[in-house]
Amino acid sequence: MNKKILVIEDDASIRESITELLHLEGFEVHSSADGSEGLKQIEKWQPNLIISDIRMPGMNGLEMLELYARNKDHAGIPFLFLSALAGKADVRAGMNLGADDYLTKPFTRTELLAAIRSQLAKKQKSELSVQG
Amino acid sequence: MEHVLTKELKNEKLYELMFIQPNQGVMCLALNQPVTWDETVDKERTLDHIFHHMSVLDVNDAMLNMIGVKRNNFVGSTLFQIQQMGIPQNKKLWMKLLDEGYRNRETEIVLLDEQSLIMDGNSICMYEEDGRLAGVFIIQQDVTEQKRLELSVKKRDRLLVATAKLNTHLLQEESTDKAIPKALEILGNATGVDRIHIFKNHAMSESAGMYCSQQFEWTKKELAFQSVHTELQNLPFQENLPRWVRLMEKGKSIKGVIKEFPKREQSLLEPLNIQSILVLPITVKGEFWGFIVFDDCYTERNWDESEIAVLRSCAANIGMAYERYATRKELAESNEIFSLISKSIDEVVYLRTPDMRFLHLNDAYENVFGRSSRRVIEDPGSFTELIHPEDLDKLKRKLGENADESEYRVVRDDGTERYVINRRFPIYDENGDLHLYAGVVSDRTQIRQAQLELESALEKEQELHNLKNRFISMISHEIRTPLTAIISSTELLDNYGDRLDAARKKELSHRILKASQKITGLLEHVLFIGKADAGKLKLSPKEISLKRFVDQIREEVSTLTSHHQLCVSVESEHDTIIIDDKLIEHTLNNLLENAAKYSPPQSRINLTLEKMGNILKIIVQDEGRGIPVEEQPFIFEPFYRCEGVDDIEGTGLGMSVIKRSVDAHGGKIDVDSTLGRGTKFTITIPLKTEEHEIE
Repeated sequence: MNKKILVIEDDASIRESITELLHLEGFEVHSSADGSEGLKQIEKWQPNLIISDIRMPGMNGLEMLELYARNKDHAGIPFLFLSALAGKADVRAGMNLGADDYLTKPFTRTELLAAIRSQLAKKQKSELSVQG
Repeated sequence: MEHVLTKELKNEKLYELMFIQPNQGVMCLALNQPVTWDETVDKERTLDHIFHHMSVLDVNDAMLNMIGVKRNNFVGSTLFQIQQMGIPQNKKLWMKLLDEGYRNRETEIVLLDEQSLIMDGNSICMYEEDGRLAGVFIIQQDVTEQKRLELSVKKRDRLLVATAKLNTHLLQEESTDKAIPKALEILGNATGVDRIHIFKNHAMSESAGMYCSQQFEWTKKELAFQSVHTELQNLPFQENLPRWVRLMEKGKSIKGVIKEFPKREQSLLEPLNIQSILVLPITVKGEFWGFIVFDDCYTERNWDESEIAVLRSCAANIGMAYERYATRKELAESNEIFSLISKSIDEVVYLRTPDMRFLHLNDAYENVFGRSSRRVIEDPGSFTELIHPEDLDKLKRKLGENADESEYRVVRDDGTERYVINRRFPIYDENGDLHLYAGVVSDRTQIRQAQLELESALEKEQELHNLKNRFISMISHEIRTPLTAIISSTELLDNYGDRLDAARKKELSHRILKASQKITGLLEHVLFIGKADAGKLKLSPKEISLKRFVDQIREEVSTLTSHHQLCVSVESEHDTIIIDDKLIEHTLNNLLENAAKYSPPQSRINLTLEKMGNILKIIVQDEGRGIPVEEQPFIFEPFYRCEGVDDIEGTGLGMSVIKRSVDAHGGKIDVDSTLGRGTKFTITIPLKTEEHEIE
């Protein structure tokens, strides 16, 4: 079964590009344009990995992660930030909230795919060790 | 009882006794024939006769020794012959003796070997019974040594009196120029020398050793060669007279007859026509300062030790006088400098006792404290009255801690404040006790103001710096987003091109183009703002008619406003204006673009241009969503975007660019907006009357 990835990004062209790219790479992809919509999607669709922008109208990425992380059910779902905020302080703020990785814009396809695959692999390994 | 001795025998024994006296010269002169000596004779002729016929009858050894002659030659010699031997005979004195019959006198006899003798003696005439002169009996004593001693004591007394006079004089006068010439005159008269000089030592260069120069000279009035005056300045003392320097550095004197001096020194002193000399060092402040020279030009004087001792004390007094005058001069100079400085500087200068009595307070006090300095001198307590109450305690505490620097505010009677720094310097007396305080109070008000201004400027600079940093991080963020779009679209095309249809590929290419344009627009705005903020925005104003200007704008914005109704109205369109048309066009382009972006399609956008005197008024009014009142103050800040407009494309720099363009023209832009009803921007630009560049 294909892994499910949720993309939360306000910029339409970037959202569409990522969606299309991941789809072409064989992932099942859903997308949202802001944080609150993203949260709803997580509940409903239960993705295997979440990629989120930070600066978004309405609920931003950080606020969303805070709410999302409070729910114990989500533990173990890799959460990646993908933001144009590239300062060290921004990255630290994101990681401190519990994000598993932080990619800065502009990113390349290779970077994005490597980050996603490594997170998914880590998740799988930990699941195996729990079962074993 | 009758004496055994007859009168003759008694006389004979007395005569014998006299003759054997070792210190008393006795001599008996007798005439071969007695002569009459009274008023009846021709005394000149008779004396002449006596000189030729009165001869030595008897003489004792003491007399022969005294005058240095031999008995054989002397006994039997007439007075005339004695005179021939070089023992002078004064006819006048002889005349007096013969007249009076007796004489006690001092005679100076100059003998052949040029040694002078002083004789103290008694002469008595001997007469025949008929009263005629028979001979002369002479007793005399050599008192030369005694006289010499007397003379020396007299000379020394004279010198001591002169010394006293000299000291009084030196103390009375206030400068060397006045004191020294008179002092030398006193010394000259007392010593009887022909010339006195004072020389001062000095260096000509560091390596050349000691030089000396004549400072003062006194010469005896009757000195024949007064005009023979060698230039006695800058003499290479050390080089020429090293012996003198060596001796005088040890405080010793140089004295003597020139012809007995070393040959080398003789040749140097020869041109000065000196026979004998006495040179005494003068010491000032413990240093060999110079020397005083006593010259004898005609005689060879033998200075005796007592004279030299007295003159040494005179030299010492002259040295002390030099020292005193120098100190007095230094003191006077430093006093003068002090008062000059005190008068001319802006700082308050004071001299006060530890219990706050002011001995000196300059006029600057009035400039700083606003009260006359006299008032504080008379009433020292009023000094603290003017100190800011908040600073007074702090000041008292600091002074209590013996701090010598304090800062406080002064509240003048007119209410203005001054900020001052007070620096004081303790002055101790010779026992090391605190005697006075000297102090300087500087008015630092302006400096402090400047400092405060600098601090605020620095703060502003810091703020600007922060703003710039924020600006840069905003730009980078704004560029990252379109760049991401470009890269991701490109990578889609590159990696999955074979799986995308033509329409999708075209869409991606278009997306790349649009993102690139966005970056370009952003860059242009950033550059414009950067230029404007750096004050490097140059205007190129030119003359253009209002009508033509409006036509240009209309053409420029036609596509932007194609979905809206653009209504342009121009008042007095035949007028010409001088303006940077391209810049204002660009500004209006931005404004109209904004109006179109934030207004529903088909709504009205009004553009009104009006020239009112020297002012161009431009109004852009739309029927769009409007700007919330609370956000209106921020709309011209870079990257500020109103709430809820994220769905509308925009860099967040457009309004900043508009504001800066208007500012560059010296104009202003006002916003009047009601939420949901529309926005009205009013730009007023003062028009230039001539075409020239405005910076």
